[in-house]
Amino acid sequence: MSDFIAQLREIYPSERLYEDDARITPYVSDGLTVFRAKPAAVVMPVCNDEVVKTLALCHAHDIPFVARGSGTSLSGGSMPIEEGLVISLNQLNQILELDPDNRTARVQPGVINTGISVAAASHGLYFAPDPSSQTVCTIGGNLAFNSGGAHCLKYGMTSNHILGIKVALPDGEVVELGNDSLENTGPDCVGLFVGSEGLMGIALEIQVRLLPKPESYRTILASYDSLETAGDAVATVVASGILPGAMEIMDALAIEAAEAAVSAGYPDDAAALLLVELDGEAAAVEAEFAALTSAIETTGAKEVRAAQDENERMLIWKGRKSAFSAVGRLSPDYIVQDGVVPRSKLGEALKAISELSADAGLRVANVFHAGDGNLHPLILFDAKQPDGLEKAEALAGKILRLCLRLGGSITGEHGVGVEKLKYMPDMFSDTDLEAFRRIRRSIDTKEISNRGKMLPGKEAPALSDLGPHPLEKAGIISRM
Amino acid sequence: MDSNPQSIDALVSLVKNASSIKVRGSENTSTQSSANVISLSALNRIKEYLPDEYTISVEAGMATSEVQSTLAAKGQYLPFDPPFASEGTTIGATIARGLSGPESFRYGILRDFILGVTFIDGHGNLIRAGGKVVKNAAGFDIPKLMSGSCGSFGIIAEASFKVFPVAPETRTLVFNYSHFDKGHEALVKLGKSPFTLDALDLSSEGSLVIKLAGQPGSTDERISAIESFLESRADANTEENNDSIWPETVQLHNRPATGTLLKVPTNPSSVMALESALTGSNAPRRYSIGGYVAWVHWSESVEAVSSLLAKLNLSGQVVSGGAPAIIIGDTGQRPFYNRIKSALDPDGKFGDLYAPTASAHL
Amino acid sequence: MENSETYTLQPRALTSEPEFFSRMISQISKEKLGPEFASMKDPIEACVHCGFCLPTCPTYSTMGDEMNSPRGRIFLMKETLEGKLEPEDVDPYIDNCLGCLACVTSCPSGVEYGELISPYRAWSERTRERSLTEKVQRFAMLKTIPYPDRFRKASKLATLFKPIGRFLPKGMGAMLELAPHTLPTEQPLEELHPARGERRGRVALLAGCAQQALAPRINLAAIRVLTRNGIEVVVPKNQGCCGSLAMHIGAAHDARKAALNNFDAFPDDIDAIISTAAGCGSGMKEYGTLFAGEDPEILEQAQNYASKVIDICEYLDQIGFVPPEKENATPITVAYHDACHLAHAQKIRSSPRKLLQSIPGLTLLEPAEWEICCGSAGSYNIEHPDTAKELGQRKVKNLVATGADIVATGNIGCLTQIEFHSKEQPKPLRVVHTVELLDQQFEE
Repeated sequence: MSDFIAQLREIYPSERLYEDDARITPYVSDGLTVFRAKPAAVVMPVCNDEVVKTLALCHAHDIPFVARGSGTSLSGGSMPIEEGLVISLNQLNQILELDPDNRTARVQPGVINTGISVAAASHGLYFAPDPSSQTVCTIGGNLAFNSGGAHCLKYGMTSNHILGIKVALPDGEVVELGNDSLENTGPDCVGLFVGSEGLMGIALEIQVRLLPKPESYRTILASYDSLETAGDAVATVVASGILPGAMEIMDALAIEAAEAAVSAGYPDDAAALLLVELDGEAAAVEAEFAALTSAIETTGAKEVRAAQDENERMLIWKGRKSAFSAVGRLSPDYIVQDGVVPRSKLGEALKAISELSADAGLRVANVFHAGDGNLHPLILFDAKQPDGLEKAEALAGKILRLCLRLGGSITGEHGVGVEKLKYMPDMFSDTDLEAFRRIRRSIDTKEISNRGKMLPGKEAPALSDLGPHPLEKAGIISRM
Repeated sequence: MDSNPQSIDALVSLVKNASSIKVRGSENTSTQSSANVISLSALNRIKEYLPDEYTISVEAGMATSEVQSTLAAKGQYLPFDPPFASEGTTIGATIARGLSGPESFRYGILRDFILGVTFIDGHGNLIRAGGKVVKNAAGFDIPKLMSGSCGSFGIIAEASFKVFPVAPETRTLVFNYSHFDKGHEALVKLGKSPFTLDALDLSSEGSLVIKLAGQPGSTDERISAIESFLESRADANTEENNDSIWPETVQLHNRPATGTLLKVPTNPSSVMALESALTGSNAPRRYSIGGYVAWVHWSESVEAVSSLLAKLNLSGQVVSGGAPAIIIGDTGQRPFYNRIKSALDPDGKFGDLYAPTASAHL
Repeated sequence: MENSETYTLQPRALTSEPEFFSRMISQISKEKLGPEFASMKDPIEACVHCGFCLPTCPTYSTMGDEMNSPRGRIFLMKETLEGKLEPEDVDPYIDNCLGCLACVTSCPSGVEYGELISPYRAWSERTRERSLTEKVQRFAMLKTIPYPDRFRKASKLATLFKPIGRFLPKGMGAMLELAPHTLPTEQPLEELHPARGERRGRVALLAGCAQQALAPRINLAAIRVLTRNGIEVVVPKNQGCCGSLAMHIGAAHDARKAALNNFDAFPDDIDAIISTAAGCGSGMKEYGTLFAGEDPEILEQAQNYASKVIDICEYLDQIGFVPPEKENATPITVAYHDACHLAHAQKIRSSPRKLLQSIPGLTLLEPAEWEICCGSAGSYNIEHPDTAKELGQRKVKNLVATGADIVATGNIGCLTQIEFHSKEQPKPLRVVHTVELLDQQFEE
């Protein structure tokens, strides 16, 4: 290790190589503060060459590393590895090229998600993926975790907007995946890399696709007496053949929190709110709006409101996008889950969640991407109770298994990270997982790239039952 | 005689025992029969279709046209607009070759709609990856990896797709330009505009072909807006999903019986460069998906077109016809491909895209 | 019941009783901190580490590292208060904070960072060993800026020393560089300014210290606008500095001394205490925190005083300011700069805009990155000249980009900083206080 650090010092000046506690401590966890792990050092490269040299060094010394952007992962995806290296990519934050004719931009991984849209705005273009943390999170992190957002329903996830990537593989070899076209020859290696949770190395340059900004938007809010009715309304809208840009649901707790955070002007007596947004050409949107309104009329909504101008629309979205963090006002301790269910089973899933919540005696706030069936139950608990977190984790596990039972997935967009590692065997067979491992080892023979995330690595087996996290058991990570 | 496994289990044991294996991609075309060619024609069922869910899971041997008619009966479609359906191509072959049609301009290509796959790798393992729901971030995105892999990582047995509702009203417009350059200029201009077109193609003669779709009664107004944006009236404006215009754009319907059909990923800028390089050749060609792909039918030596593409930093994929390798021109992705290949098919049962061996998917 | 002592933060061992925390839950005990510093616990525990504060934090957006971000600092302060890190190791990153409170505006979880950073600075200052240069610098600042007379004298002195500024330690050099070449003529304020027309209210004006020396025109304008709106204005004679500058750099003792003086100097029979400087207004509104743990009687006095404090724009908006009728309105474009201590600390953004928009012919323009500090931040431009300069230039760039004729703002610090950094522009910006533009409406 000391040899490794000594060689790092040859690459980085001390102001970009953190070895002291004061500078390392703020990096011990990301957006999931349940877990923390202390790395040996943090480096902040300013050029591709430094990244490549660093990876080669890690490979030579068998030192695990994690690449980090803004540290907003909700699954612990950018949590450090104990005694490993954190490679902070925040200084690689340039938009290298913006090509309006081809509707593409070539960017470095540390660019903030909204930064791309801001830069493209003067050409009438934007970058479609819009995770709630888009003003904070970096494109590198979006890429690693195939981030979603409210508009996936129509526009797809991050993966659908990445055309090419220059990658430094975990042994320092630099390869090019994809190109600067929507189409590709041969296998979609870009598709494989996106969402690989940092297990395949570090993206140095990313070719993203830009879309023309929709000419017109129509955003409506419908309030309901129960969460289940709102869930069923989603199925009605989907079945009506309209394809909204976004369809979101918030329940009473989430509404209360968002309202307290940003005064979004949501109706205050609703048990659930359905937010539907249409976008596109003005004439097309108006026609869809008429169809949508008549579909919503049949869903038993208490009140239906349409945003009257862009300010109102932005405020509605600000409330929705602040909701996760705003729930911190109701209870500073909560776990966010990210399971997916078939859209026609939303009502059923929400009812089951409220029953599970009542059984566990824990409040659950729901704010989620209803159009995709992507639930985000926020399980509120009191960490000062001796078994507070354990009870919450048990409930989280029940909810995830419910999602799988209904034919869904354990994660729609937050990724597996460390947080859902133990549920992987519920979703995949040993053969499937072994195939993942073989692919991983073909890219990273030493399994040093973000070791311990998504796939149980060589240091700890996954446990399929509840209890201490495998890494935790091994004493590799600890909780705050 | 081809092997014709009747079940996925039979397919698994076939792969386990074979040293080399190829899958027939269409039951209509007569490819040379040999011991190592198998047909998936028995694996042709719909595994699950949930119209309310807008997802469908099918076995790989099912003809794409059959998948399409099943969906059409419920007013739904595959938004990536799989081409070559009329030639009997199976859905498995469509995935393996990574084929998308002109309408993928609106919502995305095949990779954007494939949710899950079940496949048999070179070790004979039956692997399931992805899921059946429209959003899923668990595990490696192998469904995407399989698209365009030409079967060289494994044999696809089943796949799940996200589907969309068919818009009630569809219109096709044709704008004929005097020069390719003018048509290209209009293509770039439209591509950047907020018009939400379902398809945007350009012929080598300079005809711009547009499809748009929407709610009843909304298209007329949009068409006039497009016409005033382009400052010209459409030369043709049809209400039907006009077969005489659309399939041809990617299938190059009247292509000669011999020669090689190439898919060349481009972008609006490289379309201009490619067209200049091809001017003078008599290769039939179309620029589709808003200028993000070129379909080129090449009758001369494949080596020549390979070096032409490489000079333009373009890569080409042989879709039909003979060639020394499946991927020609720029082969920058090869080092990464080789690593994945070593994980899934170390013994090379399924052939190599970059090597002078035929593909696994015929 | 706070019983945090019992929680351990050790890695979970299978044999021991486990305790878990998902937020920044702490081992900090309010009892141990004492009433003066107890307020620090709540913001620490309210933080969920989501990172929404990162993009609007001026130091994170210039330096790009976690320890220079709000959530990073919260983490560092927590670890220090728990005894896991040494204050002196953490101080540089706490010092870098401008105290602009943009993070409070962007925080969805409602973390009151202001209630953490000021007490923390005072807490760490108690044991802090500062270098001689630092001591001299802080002493010079605390003993000149708050006193208009001394400030005038010091400025004159500074003019003499400007040529040797580059040979001095950075902060001292910055002090000299920023010191104005010339100051406007001294304009002592009368003690009583009667309302014009029907009397609608009676207020006391905090004259401020540095502002009164740098731009006496602002208070004069404020008095004219108030009296013409029927408000009687008292300018208490024995008033001094409000102590905000000291409070924000952790010199709590100096701050309390200044505040106590003003409690005596200000009369009771007033509707409000008007501040024309955002920094002073926000500081005075925090008196409750400053005097937490003091004698209950003094605390009550402080809370009472703080409850009367109101910014000039907030007040004018409340009483329904009406500009005089004018026949020929001259068209003018104004870019409004949100002072951090107005927008973030006091959450005042709409009233100055409303007032400006009531001016006939005025078009209001909004600069990009409104939430990011201009780098003035009290005495920050003296203590951290490099960052302050970078932020100042960035702010000027955004303001110039609006193409506005004039920049309006609500804080003397911002006004000076923006004017200073726009000097290199082909057309230096003209920066005024919002109330000056209102005042102009009454000119014949």
